[in-house]
Amino acid sequence: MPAEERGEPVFRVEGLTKHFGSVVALDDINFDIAQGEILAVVGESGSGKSTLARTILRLLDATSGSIVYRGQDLLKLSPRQMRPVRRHLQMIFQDPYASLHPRRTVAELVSEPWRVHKSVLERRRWPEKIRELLGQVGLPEGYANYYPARLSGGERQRVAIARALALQPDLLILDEPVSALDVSIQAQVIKLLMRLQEEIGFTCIFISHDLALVRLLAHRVIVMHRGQIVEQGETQKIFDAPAHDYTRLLLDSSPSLAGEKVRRAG
Amino acid sequence: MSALAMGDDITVSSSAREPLLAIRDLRVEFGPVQAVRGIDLAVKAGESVAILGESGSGKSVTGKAIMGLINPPGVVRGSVRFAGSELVGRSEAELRPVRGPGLAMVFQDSLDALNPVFSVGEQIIEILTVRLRRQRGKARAEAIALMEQVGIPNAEKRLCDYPHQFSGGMRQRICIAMAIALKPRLLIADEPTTALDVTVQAGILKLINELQRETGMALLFVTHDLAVAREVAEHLVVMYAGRIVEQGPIDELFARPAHPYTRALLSSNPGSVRHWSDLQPITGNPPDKTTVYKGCAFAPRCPRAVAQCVEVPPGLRTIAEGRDARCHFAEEVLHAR
Repeated sequence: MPAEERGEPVFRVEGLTKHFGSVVALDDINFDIAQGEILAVVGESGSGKSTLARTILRLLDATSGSIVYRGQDLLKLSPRQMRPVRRHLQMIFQDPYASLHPRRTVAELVSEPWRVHKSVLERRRWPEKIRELLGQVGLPEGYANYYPARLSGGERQRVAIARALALQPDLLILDEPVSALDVSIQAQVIKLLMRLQEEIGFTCIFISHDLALVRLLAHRVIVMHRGQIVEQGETQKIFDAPAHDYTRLLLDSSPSLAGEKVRRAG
Repeated sequence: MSALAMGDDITVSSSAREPLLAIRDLRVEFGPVQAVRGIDLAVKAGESVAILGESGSGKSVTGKAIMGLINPPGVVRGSVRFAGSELVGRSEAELRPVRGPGLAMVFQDSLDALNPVFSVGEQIIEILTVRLRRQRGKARAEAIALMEQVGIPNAEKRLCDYPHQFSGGMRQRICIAMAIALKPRLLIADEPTTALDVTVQAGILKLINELQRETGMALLFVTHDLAVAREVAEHLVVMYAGRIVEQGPIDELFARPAHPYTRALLSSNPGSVRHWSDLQPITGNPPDKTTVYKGCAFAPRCPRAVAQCVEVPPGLRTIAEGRDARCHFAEEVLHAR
């Protein structure tokens, strides 16, 4: 890949491998991400895409390889050294029913990152910043005192987005951020995320099994199968001319709103 | 009509004019929750119908109500006629002859649908020995044939395996084998591929279509996924807040929706645009099942809503050949660009 054209990579993953006992979950993963880029990771369950996200954030320990973030190898950092780096790397999970503490108000949830990373924001500025973040994700100010139970799935995911943005992350990993939401809500949340990405310019890893969605928003795509990257490149190229059989199978299997029906294929 | 007569009924072909399944004003309530708020629906023999809706639309409850699977405190009212006989109000014993050879159902979660402590062969064989009074040896051979029919490799060897030894896709195939064991005239499939990967989903959808072609059974396919509905069905029923808001031939509905909700679902779908900024999200939240709507349930989220929509409930009207819609402005929506 011509990395020069895309500028200096923010993130470079080299030879990343993760074993769970005898299972090879990640097998020699190599890729990089340029500043402001949206990189989609697609694949089916068990392909290793969520393991990849968790290994990059060091929520899991890699078996070997390197993850170079702005010049430093994250895998060489001690847990103590890793802590300040974490504020720049945030993640939004699939299920906003599981990712929000039910006994914390929205204000507490959104401000929690500042409790952990104390230098980011002075306490007296919290209320003002909470209001600003809620506004950014399209929630009324009054929601600050609500508990998650009062919120719908889409609203909960907005809270999770506000919480991730509270630290002004450099890299945001989105792990299937809309697949647990109702179909009528998914487009709202996608547009919100993409609008914020344009405004703020964070670099983004977007993990998804939904190829129609990936085609709409990713600059580049990684296709994973059984722990390996079978194909990577620009989104348009991969969708127009998939080079690997597995990519072709994924594309052919995805039901679509127009064109040939899958049942007639094969 | 007695249960026995019903049993005869379903093996004798009913009049070609009468739909196989005819639902009139079906309502399902769970205390204050109005899950299904009066639907009329007909499925002809051999036809494939998809019920599309988001969570809380009443689509799954409709499927369960047809099968007689709504338990107290749930209350079912209205009429479900299958092959000319009423099903609502029947006891379990009276429903028994209909379930299996008449109606069969496949659920979303195949791990929950199978018994973990019996081999899959045992579970298929049981159906054949109990319901068709087959000898064990013959039932075993038939079970193998059924597993082969639904595309399970090494069927004979895998007969003795337990549900957890199969992948999700293979388990769903076993559920389908059990559902078609008594050659049902209508198969109800409730999100059968939602938990599966796309490549596996494609195989299951293809299998259901093939079985339908081979056996001539009718299909009622419940889903939240527009593209999946398009794969399996000829006829689409769109549900919102417990009611049918639009129905008709699926390709026509997708090309020219007549209800603002169908239209909005299509234009908020990633498959319908080239760039994310072209997505047109539906505003607001999905409807609350306890809310009683004075007018149209979609009005709070509808871009075309006027005062009339909030005040006057629209009825389901025929707006074109084979097309029904529940909107005061259905004709305008249909012809709008």
